[in-house]
Amino acid sequence: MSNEQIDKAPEAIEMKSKQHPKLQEFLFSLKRFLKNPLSIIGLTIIISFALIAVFAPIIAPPYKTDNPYQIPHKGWAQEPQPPSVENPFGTMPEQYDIFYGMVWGTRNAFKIGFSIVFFNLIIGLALGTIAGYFGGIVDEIIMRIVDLFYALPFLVVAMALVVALGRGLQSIIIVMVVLGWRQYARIIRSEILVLRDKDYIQAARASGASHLRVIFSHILPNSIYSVLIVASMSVGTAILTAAALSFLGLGSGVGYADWGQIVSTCRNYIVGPPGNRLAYWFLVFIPGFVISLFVLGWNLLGDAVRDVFDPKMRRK
Amino acid sequence: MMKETLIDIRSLKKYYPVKGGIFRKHIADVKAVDDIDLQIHKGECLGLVGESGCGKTTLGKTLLNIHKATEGRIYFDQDKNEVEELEKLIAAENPDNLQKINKLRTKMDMTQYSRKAISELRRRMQIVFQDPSHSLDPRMLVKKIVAEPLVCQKLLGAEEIQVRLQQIMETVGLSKQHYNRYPHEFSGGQRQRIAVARALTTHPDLILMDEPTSALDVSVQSQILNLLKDLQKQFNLTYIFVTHHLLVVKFISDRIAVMYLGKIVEIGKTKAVFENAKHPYTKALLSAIPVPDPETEKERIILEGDVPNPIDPPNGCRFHPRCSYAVDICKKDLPLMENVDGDHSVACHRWKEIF
Amino acid sequence: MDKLIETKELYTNFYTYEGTVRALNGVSLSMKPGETYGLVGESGCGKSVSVRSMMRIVQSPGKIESGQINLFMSDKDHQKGIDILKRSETYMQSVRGNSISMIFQEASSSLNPVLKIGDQVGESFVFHRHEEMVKEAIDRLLEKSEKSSNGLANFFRNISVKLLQSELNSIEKYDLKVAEIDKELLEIEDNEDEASIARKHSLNFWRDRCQEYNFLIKIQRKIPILNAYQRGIGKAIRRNVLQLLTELGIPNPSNIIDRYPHELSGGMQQRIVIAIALACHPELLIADEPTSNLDVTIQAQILDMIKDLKKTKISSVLFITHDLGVIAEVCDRVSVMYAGDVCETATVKDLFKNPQHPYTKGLLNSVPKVEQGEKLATIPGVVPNLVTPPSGCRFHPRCPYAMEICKNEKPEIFELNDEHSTSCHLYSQKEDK
Ligand SMILES: Nc1ncnc2c1ncn2[C@@H]1O[C@H](COP(=O)(O)OP(=O)(O)OP(=O)(O)O)[C@@H](O)[C@H]1O
Ligand SMILES: Nc1ncnc2c1ncn2[C@@H]1O[C@H](COP(=O)(O)OP(=O)(O)OP(=O)(O)O)[C@@H](O)[C@H]1O
Ligand code: SF4
Ligand SMILES: [Mg+2]
Ligand SMILES: [Mg+2]
Repeated sequence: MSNEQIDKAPEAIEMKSKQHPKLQEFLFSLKRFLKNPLSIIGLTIIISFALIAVFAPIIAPPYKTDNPYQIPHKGWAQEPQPPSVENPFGTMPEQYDIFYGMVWGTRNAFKIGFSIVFFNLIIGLALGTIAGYFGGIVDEIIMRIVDLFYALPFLVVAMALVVALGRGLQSIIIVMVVLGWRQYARIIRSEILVLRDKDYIQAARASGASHLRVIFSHILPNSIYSVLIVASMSVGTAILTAAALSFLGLGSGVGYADWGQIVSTCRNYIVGPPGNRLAYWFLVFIPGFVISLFVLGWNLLGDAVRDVFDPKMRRK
Repeated sequence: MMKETLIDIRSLKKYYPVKGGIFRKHIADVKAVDDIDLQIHKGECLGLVGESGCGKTTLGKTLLNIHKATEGRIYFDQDKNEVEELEKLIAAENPDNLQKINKLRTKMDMTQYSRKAISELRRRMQIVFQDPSHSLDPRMLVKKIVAEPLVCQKLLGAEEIQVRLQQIMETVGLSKQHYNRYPHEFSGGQRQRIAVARALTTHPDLILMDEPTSALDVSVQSQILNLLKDLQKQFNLTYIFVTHHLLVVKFISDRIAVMYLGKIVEIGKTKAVFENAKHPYTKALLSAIPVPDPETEKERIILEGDVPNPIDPPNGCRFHPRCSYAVDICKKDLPLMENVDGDHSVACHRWKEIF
Repeated sequence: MDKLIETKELYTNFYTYEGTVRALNGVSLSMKPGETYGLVGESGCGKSVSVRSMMRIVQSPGKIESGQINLFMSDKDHQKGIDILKRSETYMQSVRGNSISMIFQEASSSLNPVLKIGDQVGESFVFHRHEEMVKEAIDRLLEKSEKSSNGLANFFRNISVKLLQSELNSIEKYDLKVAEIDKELLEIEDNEDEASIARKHSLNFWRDRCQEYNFLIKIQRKIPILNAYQRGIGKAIRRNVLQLLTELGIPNPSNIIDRYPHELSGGMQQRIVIAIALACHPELLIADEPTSNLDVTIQAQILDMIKDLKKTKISSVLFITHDLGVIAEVCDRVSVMYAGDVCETATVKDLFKNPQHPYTKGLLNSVPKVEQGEKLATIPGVVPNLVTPPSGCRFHPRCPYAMEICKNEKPEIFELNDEHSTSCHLYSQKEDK
């Protein structure tokens, strides 16, 4: 055997295509994603909601363009009216149009879900990464803070904060960010603790990479997926919790196009008058159904994202 | 001819603290490297052998400052006479000289270097890990991985990096079509080539090879060993070659240091150690190698028991509980390094009598 | 020819996301009783899958596609085999403990971390040598009651003996039945007419039922207070465990049996695993890289122990390793595997002195030797991916002698002489001429 054979590495294992590896990786993920019927259903649901949110001004033209989230109402009559041509989903007490509320509420739902998860991610990632990567006393301090936040009773703190900040959606978002980031911090920290001692991290350090470089180009790309999976799964939950807080009366005032608030306004009419207990079915059923569908969509999507990205469920 | 010394290690110690109890108090130390003196010459390959857990990796990583040394001095490429002078000062233990010593040490001793000085040194020292599937970032493209040391240390401009990259990849036998791939698309041997390429990019003087072929197949191992040997000649590299495979060490090293429980027990030219081992442990280690030849009938020395715990090493000679030649003095006194001849030294009380 | 176990044209596949891993490509091996047989090859070549197939414990995406695995253990003369691929899972369970034991590469992962060493070794006695243990317990009790004059104690001892006896009887009854069935099965093993097939089915069915334990005994063991008689068995087991560990030369056994696995070193754990495997007196011990994770000095201890055991306790060993040095040291005969193929089978001396298959030659040349020159010989290329294995002879892309036919046809096994066979076209071509 000649020297030439020795010194040339053989061709890499057969390659299926000549695409850029990043693209190939993406296509591979996409294929996995599209193979699963549940993920398609989830995606369809979310896309439909997104379309509704985007085209809200066309689907339900606001009468007050400066404040479209204000639901229009005709008169002050207390008794809810069943669905009709004019009000396809019926009306709430004080004759607020449920259809309008649901359409514009979709926008609100996306806003709430995304902003809560986004801020949670930022805070959780930053603190978790610092704690996990640097370890020692920094880790100790940050994790004790996390423990502290875990010890806070959710409802009590939520009430207290809303009282302090004033009612409204912003307050709900703030409450849920304050109480939500702890989970992300823990997940990312445990991921990083495993990664930190990996040879390739040490190799990077040995080749002179700074801490920032190690974190941003080695640690985060290898650990962020688990957090993203949790994040995609918790958009739905965030909205559900926000709706629950609205229902408890911590949300914005009557007439504001927010799903939780709509249910809250209707709570006195859940059961109909004697003799016709189901008279106001549409009050509970329609918002309830829409909220459930939205949450279901996100959960299906979250599951699909997990299946695609979770290294344990991929390849070998 | 006196060889030039690249690294000079004096009384190097590396202890890992063991924490326990409810308050995670420091209760003991793992004495992974305990008081080691060692000189590594320029352009040589020093094999570091010993059983698992004896501190080979720790010694290597402490040398490269990946782990901070607990105690001791490491002189990297320093003037020999200056080093001797400083060592004399330290040995004198005169409190008046303390300030002078400290000043000299911040200049010469790597363990005292500032962060900046160390990051400059990084260019000259690189490491190749045991398992290439763990030492390459799975989400980075091969070209990024190989260029990383250059990018981190900002040694070259973008174009020069490309040129250097191509040179290096060719030397280790990888072609252009391999650049845009992820490590998992390569076989074990190819991955190890990538890891070697990464170590070579900065044109280092010293490469620590931490069991670079243990994770590879036999038929691929020989490719890599040949490659490493060629590269050493081509770039005049100094290797520290950590392994527990004695035949590999025999093939590639000029000198061998045998470690046992945090200490070097025997060191010498490869040939001298293999043919004329003086320490009972080296003897046993050599006799335990399974030789791929059914015809050779060897006298086998089977050691009793296991390697003791480095948290609480035995007194005296650390090998005495397993040594069949041990006498009373072995249980009490630590044997010092004694010169056998030339380069060959051994730490055993009875080496003159027993072999 | 006497045989112990053989595989014929065994194909095993793994169905994974990336595609079908064709791990075994017609593996034919044959072991003689009383020998130490080596299986050597590089990582991923199918050594573990081969022996796992032989034990029928291939992990989940894997499936044995075709082939035969003949076991010659129920025949005293080792002439007539039973194809275990056609037998039920219950049958395999009895084979696995009683005639064949297996030890795995990672000692630490085959020990249960929450059970004491003594209990883990003892478990093996409970499963495979229950009868002996019961007998021993009865003997002890009888002995004691003869010596003592305490009436009450003797009364209880008598009850215990009665209960133990009933357990023993039922075990023996079923063992006899199983033996009868086995005999008949062996006789009609090769008959393929309809009546025999039906008979085989029903026999297999009854054999499985016999192995499921007697119902009454199961209840008897659960009754509180009454089940105190079981203590005798426990003591007997403990005595046997101690004796076994002492025989294996494990220092300080009475201390070891009360420890947990993590308190032992790797070498000691591996010895315990061997002890567990030996507890049931297997006819064949399969050792899947038992020393690959250990240090050389510890490896020497374990190899020494296996060699000693070979003389005293186990008759045949199937030894898997990737270290040619270990093969040279412990084995009588070897098969070399490459990418799911068996390339060459020969006696150890023959293989090292006179290798025939190009892969074996390359492999032997590429390991560093004691007297090593400046350069190592290498085999060019990489180990193939078994999802898309090379056509024909799987070694052809790396083979310096490859011919046109190697790309297209899988070589047959070619017998050079009684003890030496290889599957390579170089030899079948010579034959033609
Ligand atoms: N980061 C660490 N923290 C605590 N103890 C450690 C650490 N790294 C190593 N040790 C301990 O130090 C001792 C020496 O370890 P080291 O990794 O240097 O051994 P080694 O000779 O390289 O062994 P191997 O052949 O298994 O790689 C061992 O007892 C090990 O348990
Ligand atoms: N559970 C599994 N799922 C998928 N493929 C598998 C599985 N187990 C084994 N394989 C494949 O089967 C082939 C043979 O594997 P096997 O474990 O027998 O190798 P081996 O010779 O024992 O190697 P090693 O020396 O590494 O133990 C490999 O290519 C491997 O990828
Ligand atoms: S000093 Fe004593 S115990 Fe140590 S190796 Fe020499 S003879 Fe053995
Ligand atoms: Mg190591
Ligand atoms: Mg295996």
